[in-house]
Amino acid sequence: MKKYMKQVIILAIFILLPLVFNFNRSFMTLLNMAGIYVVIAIGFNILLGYAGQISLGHAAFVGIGAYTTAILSTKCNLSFILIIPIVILISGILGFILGLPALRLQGNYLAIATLGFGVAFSHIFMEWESVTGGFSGIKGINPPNLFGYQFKTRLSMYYFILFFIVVSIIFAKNLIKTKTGRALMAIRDSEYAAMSLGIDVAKYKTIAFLISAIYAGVAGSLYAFLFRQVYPNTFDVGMSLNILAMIVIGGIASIEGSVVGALFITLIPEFLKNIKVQNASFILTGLLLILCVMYFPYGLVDIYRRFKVWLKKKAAVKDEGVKV
Amino acid sequence: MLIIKNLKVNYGYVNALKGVDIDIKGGQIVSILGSNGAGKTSLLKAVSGLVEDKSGTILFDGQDITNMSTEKIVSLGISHCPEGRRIFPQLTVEENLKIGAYVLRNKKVNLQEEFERVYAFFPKLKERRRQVAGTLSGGEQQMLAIGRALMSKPKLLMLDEPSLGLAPIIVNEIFKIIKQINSEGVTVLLIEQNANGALKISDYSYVLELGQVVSEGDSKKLLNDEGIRKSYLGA
Repeated sequence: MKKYMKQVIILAIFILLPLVFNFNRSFMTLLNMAGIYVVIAIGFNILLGYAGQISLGHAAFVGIGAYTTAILSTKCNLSFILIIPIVILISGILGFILGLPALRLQGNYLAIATLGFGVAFSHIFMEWESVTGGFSGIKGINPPNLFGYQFKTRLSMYYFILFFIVVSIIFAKNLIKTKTGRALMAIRDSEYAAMSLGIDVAKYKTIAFLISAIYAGVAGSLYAFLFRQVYPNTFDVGMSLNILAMIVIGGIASIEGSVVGALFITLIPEFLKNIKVQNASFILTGLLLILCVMYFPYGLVDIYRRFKVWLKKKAAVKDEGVKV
Repeated sequence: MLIIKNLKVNYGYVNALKGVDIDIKGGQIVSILGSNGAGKTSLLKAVSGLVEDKSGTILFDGQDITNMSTEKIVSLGISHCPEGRRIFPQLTVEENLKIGAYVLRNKKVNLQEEFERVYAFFPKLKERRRQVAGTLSGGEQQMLAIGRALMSKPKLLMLDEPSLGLAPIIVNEIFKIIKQINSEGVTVLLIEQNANGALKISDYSYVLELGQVVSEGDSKKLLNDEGIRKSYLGA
């Protein structure tokens, strides 16, 4: 138990946070949005950070999750307990399909192919009116209902999403410790060496796409449950790029980095609201992106890591100084 | 142990190997010499099932492995240590070794024992087992690459230019360890541009030129062969 003390404390802080501060509704909405992005970013980091595969079309999976939820909830009146496994199945299948070009394409070309996938889906959401409701989207999604309790308020949704974040983190943390995790990292570091050791590169690349698509799909489902309505222009390329920016700023190949990045990018506009510069948050995000790529390729969590090393060194020097 | 008959490998219109016959006897160190572009690496890739377009027959312990998947080939006991080391720089030394044992994942193996077996050859790796592999020196990285290849308990270890880009003193050390690995019962197929070193430690050698075997024989004999000395040993 002691081993997980730090994690338990952080979780406790997040549980108590809204109770202590009593945030207003709009800030709670933003916090919930940040939580949804945390789930997406963790999944995306498995793909980009651990398996080394790029995708610029991940908003499509979020959209698929959201629309699947919306349709199943409004037309079939299904409970979220049934909807979420269906979302996992559908986004998993589509993730698998998107993974197929990754077996032949690398780097920029994979980026272009996945971008095309994203653009295609954002148009499908707009144009396939009989299913997606076109521009007016789908309204009237039922709130999640657990044993008669309805997750209707922003506060209850906060805990609903927090639960999914905890599951996401535990799954991801365990995944990277297993043989699958090591195989993914081996492929990222050297595909040739991984192949020569007998690792089925095609299989693991597809697995990485599948897992990250499921994360995004579930997050999309949470999105639909939070706002109880979905619109097509939410799930555009901008969202895909936002997800990418989150893990670059937060920290590539780090679960903590995904969390920090998602919270940072979603919440920063709120804190910069009072500055009288137009689009201050965009400017700051852009600047940070450049600075991270140049000086902290492993993101904000890397600054913390380096700071810890620096403190240790300083302490070591001090100890030696006493001896002399 | 490994019999290669009339092996041809093509990359599009380029014929990398134009019908090569090679016979490797168990327990030996066999070296394959040749300059850049002779087809040495293609040969290893073909044996481990890493090239698509190939013809001919490859027999391992009498079993036809020509069209088997890499995973199957590695689990039969052929391990391939690729050129240029290709360690996984962001993983620790021990994690690198663990990946080497990937094909044993469904068998009950005591990883700790396997680590110790590799550390016995490379004591330096044990000292650095928690270190991130990218921070190792070039020689240590090569040792890690060989150690990683040993983790799948190979009967045949194929090494692609283990001396590449290393200081002469380290090359000697690596060659010594290869000899040691061989004396513990692992057959070694060694690809080298460093012909002198390779001929000295190997039992039998082949010389490849433009995708064909141009000469073969006991390494000692080749070492004294006028033609070989002129073209590969610079003397």
